[in-house]
Order: sequence, then structure tokens, then C-alpha cells
Amino acid sequence: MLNQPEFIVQLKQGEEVAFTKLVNDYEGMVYNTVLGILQVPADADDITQEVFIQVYRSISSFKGESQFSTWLYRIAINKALDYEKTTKRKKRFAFIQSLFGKSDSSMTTVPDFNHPGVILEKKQSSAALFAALKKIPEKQRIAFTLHKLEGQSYRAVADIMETTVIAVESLMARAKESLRKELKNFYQHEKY
Amino acid sequence: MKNIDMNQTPLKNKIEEALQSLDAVQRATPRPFLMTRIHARMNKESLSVWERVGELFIQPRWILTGLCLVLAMNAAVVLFNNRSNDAVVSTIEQTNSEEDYSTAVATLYDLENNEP
Repeated sequence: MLNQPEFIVQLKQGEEVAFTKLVNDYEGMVYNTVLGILQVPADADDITQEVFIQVYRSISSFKGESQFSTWLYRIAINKALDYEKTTKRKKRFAFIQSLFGKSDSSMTTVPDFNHPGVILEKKQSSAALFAALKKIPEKQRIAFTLHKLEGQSYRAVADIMETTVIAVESLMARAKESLRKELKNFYQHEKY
Repeated sequence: MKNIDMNQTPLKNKIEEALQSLDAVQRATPRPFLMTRIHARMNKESLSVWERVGELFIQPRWILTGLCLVLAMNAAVVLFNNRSNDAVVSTIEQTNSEEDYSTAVATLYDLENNEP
């Protein structure tokens, strides 16, 4: 990774080379996190662009109190969650419109998501897991995504979520429990 | 009881399998040329206020609305002019007809003795 202080200084000076290097080094991290939350590749691509634009514009507000990657993760997660809330609001509005006979065909439900990084044999079960992930509480979902999808340690997840390691452990335990319930429902209705 | 257990075990296995499906997951990467897309987006967002207003008003719906507004204003002006012309004409016609059918005879005596 980049030498942080020098890199941050270069970014704060608006150097194009530093920004290009930032995008090249962190695009996978940002995209993978956002994709894990949104589960729509096109939307994840859009939000990834927004994240980097925000970083470019608000780098002066980065004080170096945390790791740069931690700060970047927070921006990515917040952007993804904001986008998700907006989409949900639009879907609700489209539903109300459909009650009055005005339906928007673009607001149909998203099909099963297949993460491109999952090996072929596990595609089916991971699709079920991602469907279940959408139904569990937000904090549990973020903790699970950061730990399982991004491979972050509990310590790192705690830093990103601005909480303690014990709280993350608890979140992970509850996330697994919630996921088990959702998966049970899913498989029972699927008639595996 | 035995039947239930036999059904529960594969279900539990499926659930655990799903929970572990992300264990060896690879990181997903965005489509190529992300930097180019970011630049294009930044350029689009850095347009001045007037450029944004300009962009807004070149949209077909705004052009159509503007056109309808101009046509409506023209129609309103034409209608208003026609009505006011009609009113002037009818006032003149009314005055003329009143004078034509008046039985009063204006004499020099009337003009001189118009005060009480």
C-alpha cells in the first residue's frame, strides 16, 4: 500500500498522480465492500465512483486519526447504505404508484445475486446467503460483510464501525444466528 | 422423531454450507477503466451553474413545455385583442344608434339654459 503521510499530502495538494494511484490501489476494496452491501454490480460501480470523488473532494477533512483504509471503508459503507435507503424509498413509492395503476417496470425486484469471487461449486449456496444477508439488521450485515467478504479482522471491523471488538464479536454471533433463521426459511420454502 | 431428524440434518448441512460459502471468496473487481469513468463524472459534476441550467433546459420535456407556453401566450394575446376590439366597436355602434334614434332636438335654447 501507499506511504500514507506523503500520499495524503499529495492528495491534499490535488495531485493527479496520487489520485490515480489511490483509485488503482483501493478500487477492489471499495467495489467489493459496496457490492457486498448492494448486491447489484452496476449500482456498486456507480457508488464506487462516488466514493472516490468524495475522497478527492474531502481529503482535507482526513486528520489521520485512523488508518486511511478505515476512513475509506466508512465512506464506502455510508454511501452504499444511503443509496440503499434511497432505492428502498423509490421502491415504496413505485409500489404506491402501482396501487393507483401506474407501475414502473424498472423497479422490479433484483434477481439472485452471484458474487463473482465465489467458486463455482459454492455459487448456489452463496446466492442463498446473500439473499439472507439482505434481511438481517444493518449493523450485523456490515460486520458480517467486512469480516467474511473483505477478510477484515474483528479489530479492524471494530475500528471501521467505531465500536469495540467485543461488540463486533456479539454482532457476528447475532448475524450468524439471524442468517441461520433466514436460511432455514429460505430452504424450507425452496423445498430443497 | 427419527423422520424429523432425518429431514433436519440435510437442512442444517445446507445452512452451514451456505454460511461457509464465503470462506474462500475472492475480491470482486470493478469493470475496467474505472478511472476514466470517475474523470468523466467529475467533469460532468464540475459544470458551472449556468451550464447546468442550460443542460436542464435542453431536455425535450422543457423545450416542449416552453413551446406550449409561448403558443398559449400568443393565443391569449390574440383572444384578448379580439375581445377589446369588439368592445370598442360595440360602444361606438351603441352611441351611434342612440343618437340616430334620439327624439330630443338640440336647440340653442337648451344650450343656453342648461343651468338650473
